[in-house]
Amino acid sequence: MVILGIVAVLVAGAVMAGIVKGRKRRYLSLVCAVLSLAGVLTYADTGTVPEVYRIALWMNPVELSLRVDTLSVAFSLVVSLLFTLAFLYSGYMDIGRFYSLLLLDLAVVLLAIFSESVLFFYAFLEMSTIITYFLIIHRGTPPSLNAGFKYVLMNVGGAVLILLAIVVKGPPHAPILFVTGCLVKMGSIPFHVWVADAHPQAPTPVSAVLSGAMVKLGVYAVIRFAPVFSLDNSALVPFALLSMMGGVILALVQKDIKKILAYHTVSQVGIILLGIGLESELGYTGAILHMINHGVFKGLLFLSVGCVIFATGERNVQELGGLLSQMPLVGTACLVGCLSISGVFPFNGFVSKTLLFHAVPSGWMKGVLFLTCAGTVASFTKLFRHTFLGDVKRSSQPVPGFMKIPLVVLSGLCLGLGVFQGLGGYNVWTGSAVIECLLMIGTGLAIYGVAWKMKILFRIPEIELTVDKFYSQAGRSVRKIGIALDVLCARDINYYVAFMVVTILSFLFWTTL
Amino acid sequence: MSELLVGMVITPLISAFLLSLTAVSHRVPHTVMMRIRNTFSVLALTALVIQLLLLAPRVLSGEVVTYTLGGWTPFMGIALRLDALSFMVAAVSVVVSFLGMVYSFSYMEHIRGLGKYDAFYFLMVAGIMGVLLTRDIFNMYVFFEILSISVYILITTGEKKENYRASLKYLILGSVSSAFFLFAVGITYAITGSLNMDHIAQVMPAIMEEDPFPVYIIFSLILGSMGVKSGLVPLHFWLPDAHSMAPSPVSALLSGIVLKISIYGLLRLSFLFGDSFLASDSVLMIVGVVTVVVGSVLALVQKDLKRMLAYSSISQVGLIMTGLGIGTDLAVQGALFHVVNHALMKSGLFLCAGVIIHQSRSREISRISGVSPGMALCFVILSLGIVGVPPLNGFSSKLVILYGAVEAHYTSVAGVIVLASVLSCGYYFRVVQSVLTPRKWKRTYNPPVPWTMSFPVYFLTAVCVFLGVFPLLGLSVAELAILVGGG
Repeated sequence: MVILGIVAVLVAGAVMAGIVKGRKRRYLSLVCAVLSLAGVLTYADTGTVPEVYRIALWMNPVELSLRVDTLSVAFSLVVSLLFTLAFLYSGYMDIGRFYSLLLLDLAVVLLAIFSESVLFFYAFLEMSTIITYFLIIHRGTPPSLNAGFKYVLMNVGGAVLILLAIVVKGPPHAPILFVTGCLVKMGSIPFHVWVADAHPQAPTPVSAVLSGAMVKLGVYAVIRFAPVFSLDNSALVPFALLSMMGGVILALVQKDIKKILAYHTVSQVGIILLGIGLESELGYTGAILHMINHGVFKGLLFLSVGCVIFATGERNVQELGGLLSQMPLVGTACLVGCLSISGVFPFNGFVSKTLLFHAVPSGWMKGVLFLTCAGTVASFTKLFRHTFLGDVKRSSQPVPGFMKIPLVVLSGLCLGLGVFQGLGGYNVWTGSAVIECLLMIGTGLAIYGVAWKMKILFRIPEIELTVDKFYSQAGRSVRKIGIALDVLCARDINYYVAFMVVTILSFLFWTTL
Repeated sequence: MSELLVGMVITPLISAFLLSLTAVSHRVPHTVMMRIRNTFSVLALTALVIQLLLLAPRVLSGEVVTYTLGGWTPFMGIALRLDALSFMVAAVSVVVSFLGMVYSFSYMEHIRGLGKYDAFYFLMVAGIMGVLLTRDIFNMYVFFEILSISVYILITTGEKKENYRASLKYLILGSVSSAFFLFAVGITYAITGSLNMDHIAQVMPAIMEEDPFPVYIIFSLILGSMGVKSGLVPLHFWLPDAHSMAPSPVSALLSGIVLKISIYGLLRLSFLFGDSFLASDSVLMIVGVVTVVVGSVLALVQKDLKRMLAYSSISQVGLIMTGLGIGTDLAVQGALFHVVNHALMKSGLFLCAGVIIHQSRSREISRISGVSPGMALCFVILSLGIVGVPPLNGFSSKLVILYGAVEAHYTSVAGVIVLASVLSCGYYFRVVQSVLTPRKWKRTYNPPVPWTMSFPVYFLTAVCVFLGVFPLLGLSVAELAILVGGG
């Protein structure tokens, strides 16, 4: 029942944050978030036996059932930690709407994580989609509104597919619909267009939770509800491989630092998906572990990059440089994040990546995973080098302390989780794993060097535009049909009456048949 | 107690007459007259609410309240009847017309001075109540005409050229459709020898067995004429003009209630032909699906806010018709619940659009600006309800319709409904986006919104959220309506 208490606190906090003014709002929402984190922590000793709470709702045909097990507790811990740090970080935003929405979002996401039935999961997922929309467009600039529009359209589209799957229930349609809906939600290629737009346009704390929590809800749904739809997980593998490679390649050629991170989300989600698709015990463990680790280090990366943008007001990697001397702490945190996502020993990314590496059967699939990891190394070499090393190109303003605390916490977690996971249970700290890791770094640096020489690092390729174009073309054709229909409808009144008579006659014809 | 049924029709009728007297030239100062008029309208509508509340316990326990005018036998005279189905629609109608009236106090201030508006508003309510209560099909025709004629006049109260044009278009098409309806009534009388619905339902099976062709003619005529009045797709041409050109409270009534009255009429009359006549051959379902798609696509390309809302109404009516056309109990239950939900949501949206247009002084979606936060929130909530986002009422009814469609093995129909939700997300979020865009030319001065205009919007939004969080409130009434409404 603690979860209901958390939700009550968060909702009350959201209402209060709309009422109180000024700085109190920030402290209030921070307190609420910390309370929710503490609440989730009380579940931390949950054993392997899941506990299910059923709550009858007044005047509702279905009862709400919450399931507390290791998976949901672990995921909800990461989510509430990310949200808490996001609240701490967002001290520079001072609009009440922002805090209220973020608190509500946390409540809804936690409920979604704990829901046992798919229907309630869908309901909370949809609510979080809508709330996140308002967070993404928080700045209200035309690009952010466009990104938000794309986000909400695609995500509602994905959500209704899940709804349709719930209603249809059985094979052959339901599993396909469900998987497609989840793929849209997690931004896997070919449904990744919204990820690349929404992450850069959202305020930094929102990008962090978007990548750490919202995108993962799609993955979580697959892990959680695959048995309900008797899903064949191996069908996910092609999408996983496509996202892995595609995400890395797209990230390698971006200039916008937040966009680089967004495309890496696509690629990392692909890696997680691959783990699920393998249908082996090891793959599953690796996937769940990577889901959690990715939340931590991607949150760290987004927040540290957000500090850079806050300090310099610049998001183009080419225009940045030499920031390490000006903000050593942010630089170090970013380095930890980069090493972690690249899967370097001894950070947490290393553990889950090694597990997944062992889970993948030898052959071309392993090759693709290796290339993806190497590409990640290359891409983050680029990000770190052009942002923090080299000549100073931009003057920067100091970053306030409250924005740095989350970086320290998350960096510590990256290292701590890496050591903890590496030593406890998962036997990955072996010589061969470290050699693999070194090999990967070498290849990654080589890729970076070659790409740098060939000058393809900052050229946005046509392919991204083509996938994007496909969606806008679809929208445009619907619009064209609409305009054609609109023209068709504007006629003389005689025509309408004639049409009426014809319609009634056709009704008659139809019924008598 | 059953005398109240007469009262429910007579109250608005008498009010319309008395309010029309205020249009006679007089020496009472304008403000005093205004106050008298407002007080009187509120009293009349309160009386209507009280009558409904008095009958509510009996009707909601499943009883059917009937009354025969003048003590004639039902065969000769006119019978009135209130059951769960008509009660459900009547309750929503009264609530929405009450709120629409309150909204008009300030919105239509200059026009209401003439007295025309109030009189025809109440005449329209009388028509609505009449259609809902009568058991006599010719009587139904008469009340439909009363309703339509008052609507034609109410649309013109903006007194601009476009208002008259829209009204004329509706007048011509509406009259032709009424003629079809009258034709259907005539044929029914010719073959059954009665105008009372109970009698017609009794003799209909025998006639169907002997020669079903006249029955098919009646059904097509009724479907055609009700299709025109409720805006089914090949017959919807008048609707966007009429609904967007009418003053906002009238648009709210038109989209929220008057469309639903035609749907009620279709449903009520279809019971005459036997229980599942609507679903027997999937005409209605297919027409409904076409309506859903075409309405959504057309709404997507509109530039005018109210016109967009009107097309969205077409698409939602299509959804209701699809539910009725599928014909299983579950689908019909969802459709009836959606009747209530859409009535509340769409009238709320039209009233909200009135405020938004008042504040931004433009009807164009791309030029909306300066909307107060409360109104923006209401607009967002109500439009999310239409899109079908949980936990709002639109979601519950859509979900039940979806379950009904899948249960009846129309999976593709469910797919189309879901697709239409995505499209509706597209056109509603276009408006939301525009509301939230900060404008460079934003005026510092925001026209004040009187409470009479904001209260109805807040109230309707609250009801929508309430019904969404506690869906069984609506669903159980809808279930009861199917149980006792048929026959």
